[in-house]
Amino acid sequence: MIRFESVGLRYGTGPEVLRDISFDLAQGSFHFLTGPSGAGKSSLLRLLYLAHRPSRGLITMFGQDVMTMPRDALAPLRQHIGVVFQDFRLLDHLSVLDNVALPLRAAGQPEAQAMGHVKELLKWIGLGDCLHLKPTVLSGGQQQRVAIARAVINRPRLLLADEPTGNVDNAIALRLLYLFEELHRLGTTIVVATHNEALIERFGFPRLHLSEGQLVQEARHAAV
Amino acid sequence: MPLFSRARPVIPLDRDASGRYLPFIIAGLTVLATLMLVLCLSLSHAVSGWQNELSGKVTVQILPLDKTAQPLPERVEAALALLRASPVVATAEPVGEAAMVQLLAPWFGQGSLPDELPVPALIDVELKPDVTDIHGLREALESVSGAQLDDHGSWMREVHRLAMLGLGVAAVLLLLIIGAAVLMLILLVQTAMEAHHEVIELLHLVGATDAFIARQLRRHMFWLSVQGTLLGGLVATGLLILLVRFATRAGLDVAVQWHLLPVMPTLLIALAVITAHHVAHRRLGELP
Ligand SMILES: Nc1ncnc2c1ncn2[C@@H]1O[C@H](COP(=O)(O)OP(=O)(O)OP(=O)(O)O)[C@@H](O)[C@H]1O
Ligand SMILES: [Mg+2]
Repeated sequence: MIRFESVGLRYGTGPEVLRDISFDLAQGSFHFLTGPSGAGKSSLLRLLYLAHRPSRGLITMFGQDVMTMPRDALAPLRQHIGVVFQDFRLLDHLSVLDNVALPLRAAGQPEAQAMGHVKELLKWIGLGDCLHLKPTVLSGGQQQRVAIARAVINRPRLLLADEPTGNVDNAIALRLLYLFEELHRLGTTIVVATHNEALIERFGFPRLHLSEGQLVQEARHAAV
Repeated sequence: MPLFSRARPVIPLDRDASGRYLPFIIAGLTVLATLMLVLCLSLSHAVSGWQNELSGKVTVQILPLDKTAQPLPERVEAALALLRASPVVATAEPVGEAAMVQLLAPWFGQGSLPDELPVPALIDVELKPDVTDIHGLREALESVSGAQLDDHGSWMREVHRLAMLGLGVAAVLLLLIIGAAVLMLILLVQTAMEAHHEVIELLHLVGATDAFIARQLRRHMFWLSVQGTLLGGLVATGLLILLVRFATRAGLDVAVQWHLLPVMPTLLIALAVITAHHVAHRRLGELP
């Protein structure tokens, strides 16, 4: 479903932070993205959620060649991608309800229908009482749940998370991973960047390991 | 595509400090531009009115000369023949004795003129419409001795030319005001997008199209400019009413073209929306 071929990325005129990245993500697969700090995990995710265009190589997503696509065609593609940012990126001036409704509104979904979906989802993740609160008054764990709700409200085909377990305690991290596992079972393709070895061990999904901007084979990683 | 979205603002533009002052700036520009436009066009209307009255009439005066010269009636006939043959003249009629008496009454009283008084003969000439250059006529009349072309319109034409110059300057100023307004609007939209770039980037990442984001900015600028131009329009109307009252009291007859009042507010609102649209799309085009 997603294919990278010899992809390279540099920021401005700097050095290449990603080099010769090639991989295939099958529909409905679950991968951990690992690697030391500065290896390029966030950069790779940015390519996946179309926040950057690579400086070279080929990227195919949902069967479409992203590199030659006109800019206008990328917005509908992004609507199939859910992202949980490391720092959540919730909008403080909007209520929890409006934050989660954002992708639906951006996609032009009718207001009444969108509101129905959002309330249902927020109830399901235990934030039914917080609909009209601003994110700033929520705890870290609650904010994270809002961020996840926003990422999945559109029923994305690809769900990306950048160190979603970085800012929360282990119990919450575990709950989060269970939720992701649930979505994975429903057919969502998932990539989670994390440093948390315990979680990786526990769930046992395959990993993409980055080292100095290059993808390292799993076997070689095991040897390291 | 709807011009303005109904959903609540996703970008908190209404909280910007710059937005708080914009209506007042737009109000000021509206006042200036409206006064400029209304006064100019009212003036130009008046000036073209004078022009119509003036153009078209000249007087030929034929002076009495000493006995050796050709007699006055003969010279009048010669001038009349010449005038009537000219392509720029519509009619030429000698001013009769009675009219002459009327003209000179302030000096000699009613009644017949003294015989020995060397009174010039006058010919009223009506030019054809749109004739402004009577240089040829003047030259032709030189062949009749003692004939003078009295172009009473010439000084008024100077006034007219001056008024036109004033209008030209005012038009340039009006364009400058509009230009300044557009620059200010561009700057404002850019500042707003800069201030909210995080929200805009996030919207972009969750799949919002440029059109969706641009709509928010358009709507914001629309309401700010509506507020501003309403206020400015009211102030301009008040000032014009005062001006007319003063002018009337001073004995001037000013025909203000009131129907021009909504022109500048409408134009400025349209400019605000168009500017927001273009700046937003240009800026959003820089995102991947
Ligand atoms: N916006 C940017 N402009 C320039 N260089 C950048 C930018 N973002 C990242 N980099 C550089 O790219 C390299 C990879 O950074 P990246 O954030 O992808 O690493 P990471 O694996 O996510 O690290 P961490 O585990 O610390 O989050 C680093 O050398 C970083 O300095
Ligand atoms: Mg990172």
